[in-house]
Amino acid sequence: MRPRSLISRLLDYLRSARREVKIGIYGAPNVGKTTLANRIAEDWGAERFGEVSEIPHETRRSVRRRVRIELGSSRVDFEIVDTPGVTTKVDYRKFLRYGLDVKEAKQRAKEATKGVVEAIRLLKTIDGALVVIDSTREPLTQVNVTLIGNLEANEVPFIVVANKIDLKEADPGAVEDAFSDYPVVKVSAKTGENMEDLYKAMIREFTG
Amino acid sequence: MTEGEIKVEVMARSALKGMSRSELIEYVIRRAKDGAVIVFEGQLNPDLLTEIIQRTMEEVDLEEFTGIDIYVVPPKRAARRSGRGLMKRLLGKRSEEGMTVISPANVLKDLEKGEDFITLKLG
Repeated sequence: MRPRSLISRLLDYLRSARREVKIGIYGAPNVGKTTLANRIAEDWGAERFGEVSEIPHETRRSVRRRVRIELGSSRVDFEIVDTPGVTTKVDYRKFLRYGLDVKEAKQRAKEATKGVVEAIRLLKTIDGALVVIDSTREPLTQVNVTLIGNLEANEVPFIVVANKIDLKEADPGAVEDAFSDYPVVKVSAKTGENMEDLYKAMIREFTG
Repeated sequence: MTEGEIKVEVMARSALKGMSRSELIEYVIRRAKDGAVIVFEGQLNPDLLTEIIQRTMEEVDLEEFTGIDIYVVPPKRAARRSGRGLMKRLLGKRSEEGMTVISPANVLKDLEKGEDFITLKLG
């Protein structure tokens, strides 16, 4: 056996022995976190993460899936965690506008607050994060600033995902400007636009 | 406080330094649940803000306390340079500059930021 092939086999072994990279999908409610998670699952043959809804806090428990991303010579196993939306307030009365009855709305609110707590606790367990921002809204919200500040303070690598670029009112340039010191990828999780750029960035940022 | 009144507490940096992390978090939650608006001199670090959000969610009930609003007034230099990289300046080391306002949810109706002042419209 030639030395070169031995090294090659050793590298293959080391690559395969590497543990999964645990990535949390974070952001405020209704920014498209589950749509993004489902897109990733669909692109790489994993089970869907969950249903999406216009009613805030549709995802109230974190959902995990194993996803293998292969691009060129890179092959990385991720554990992707779709987390509940992070917010500073939850009022069940807001859910009534979407046609929920009082009992359903109160239950949703109760579960949503637990979901936020769970999402924040998970911050301490992840290897990296996708911080999803709705490109049609003001990017520098307190939730986004706090999440990114927390990740940076704890030296957790992250990618800012400027989502919903398919919408005509989207201004992904504003997201890029606000977060120009960090990796920003502009995508539409709904249509799949620019998802390959996101996968390249995930391999670059999370496996370095 | 009587009904319709909103109490605003302005805390100097020195007051914050006298409190432990958990004391400060419990103080914020207690005051917010009482309906008070707290204005801090300087910026609270993101770890602390994250913990305040977590504790807030643990305390939210369905009728009386629905959470908080947090507003950070960036340091003067950062406020002047809105545009590229503002996030980094918001997270800069100048934690003793700027202001942080924490209010019960939906009490603060508007906040106008100037270079040397903030105007809070409460209701």
